[in-house]
Order: sequence, then structure tokens, then C-alpha cells
Amino acid sequence: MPTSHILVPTDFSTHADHALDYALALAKELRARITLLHVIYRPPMGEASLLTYLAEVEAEARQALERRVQRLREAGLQGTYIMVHGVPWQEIVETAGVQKADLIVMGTHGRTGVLHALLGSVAEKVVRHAPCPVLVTRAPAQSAAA
Amino acid sequence: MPMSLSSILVPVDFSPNASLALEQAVDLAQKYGAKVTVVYVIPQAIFHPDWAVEMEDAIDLGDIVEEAHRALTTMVAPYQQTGVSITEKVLAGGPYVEIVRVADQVSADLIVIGAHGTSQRQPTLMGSVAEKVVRQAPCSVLTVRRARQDAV
Repeated sequence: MPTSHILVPTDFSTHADHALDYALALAKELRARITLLHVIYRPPMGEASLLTYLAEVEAEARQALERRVQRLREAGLQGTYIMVHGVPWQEIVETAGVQKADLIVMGTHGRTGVLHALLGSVAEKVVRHAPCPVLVTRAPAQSAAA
Repeated sequence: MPMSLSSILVPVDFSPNASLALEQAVDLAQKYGAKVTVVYVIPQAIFHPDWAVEMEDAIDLGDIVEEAHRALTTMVAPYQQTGVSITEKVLAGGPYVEIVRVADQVSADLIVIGAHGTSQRQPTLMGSVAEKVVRQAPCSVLTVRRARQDAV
């Protein structure tokens, strides 16, 4: 089962960037290409203010994605990005299927308690529903602190 | 460097996805020069605590351990020629608790574990364990499953 296409969902956090480092090293080893995915969560607010908000968020996200794709290309890898709207774990699973990813590499916040319930559950839901293998990375500093 | 791999832990339950996990772990171990630890946890959590004493009488854990060791040896056999150092471990207890404990013990920097395939609609024991391991592990976790296209 060769791994030739790696999907890396990112929320631009340090955990997500650590996952990207991991995916980058792995992609070099496996000669795989990387697709970055950022899911813009639609907050519940009025239509007018929502449009302004989304325009800003999209512009920022696009820049953040382009910077990361640039990193991939500088490392000699093939990289692209996708930006979608929706519920993050659902869009990650959906995109993995549509894009025929053979591997998803994503970070986890590794928190427990309430923060975990809010943040860490994306990785768990992806692990449960993904159509392909999932590598959940944990930053070394975190394990030392745990 | 995020990709320093020196110790890979593979928790198995003898399901097809567990075999796939071992295959991928050995593959990665070869590429990165890592050692592999394969662990099977005899799930004791399924026994009610009140039954524990009776169960100990009724079931000779020694036989189960021996059988598990045999099954592990069979599972590992095809990889003996790869040059990868593979250690087998059989433990008893709550699977994910023991897995996380062993991960610490062997200073694992990656756990490779089989996930239940959603297409199979047949959650294996490791399926729910995989999610708990993802939550509690001290290191990165790779959950593997057969690609949906393969499940003809």
C-alpha cells in the first residue's frame, strides 16, 4: 500500500505546524505529495457581519496556507492547498475521500478536560471516520510536560 | 527533527488491521532504523471486578498468555528476515492503559495501531482502543486501516 498523497489539515496552530513538519519529512522519505487543508468554521452570526468576517478570515487563511505551501516547495515537494467551509472533522474526512488521500497527518492539542473536549476531539473524530490511515502527531515538548 | 524514529510500538489484537499495522510499522522501522515492540494486552477490563476471583479460578491465565505468545510469534515470523529488531510482549489489563504504559516504558516515539474500518461495520476491539490511545498517548499515533477500495 504505497503512500503517495498526504492530506495535512491545519488550523495554523503550533501543533498543526508540528504535524506539517512530520508530514514533510515523511513525504520526502515516501516521495509523496502533500495537500494542506484548512476548514473555515462558520460561526453563528448575522448574514451581513458574517460576510465581512468570512472575507477577512479567508484572506488571512489563504496567506497562511500559501506560506506553508511555499515551505513544501522549498523542500522540493509537490504541495497544494484546499480551503473549505464547514465543520472541521467532517470536511477533513470528506476531503480525504474526494482527494483520495492515502494518509492524513494532523496534530493534536493533547489537552485533557474541558479544553480537550473542545479542541482535541477533531483528531479523534477523524481517526474514527477517516477512509484512510491517520497519523496523529504530538509535539515532543508536550509529552515532556505531560 | 520531528522524524527521529527509534522506537515503534504496535499494539495488536490479531485482526486484519492489526496485521496491517505491523506491516507498516516494520516498513517504517526499516526506513528509519527503529526497533519494534509488539504488544498484546489480554483484556481484563471486560471482567466485572466481582467476578475477578472466580475468573482467576475458572480461567488459567497462564494458558492464555502462552497462547498469546504463540500467536504473536506467528504474526512476527514473516518479518524475521527484515533485520528489524522486534520484541514481543504479552500483558493483561485494560488495553489502552497498558498500551500507554508500555509506550512510556519503551520510550516509543510512534505507536502504529489498527483502526476499525468504517466500511466493514465491524468494529474490532482495537477500534475503540485506538481512539483512546490517540487521546492518551505520550507520542504520535498512526492509525491504519485497509483503504475502502480494497474492501471488495
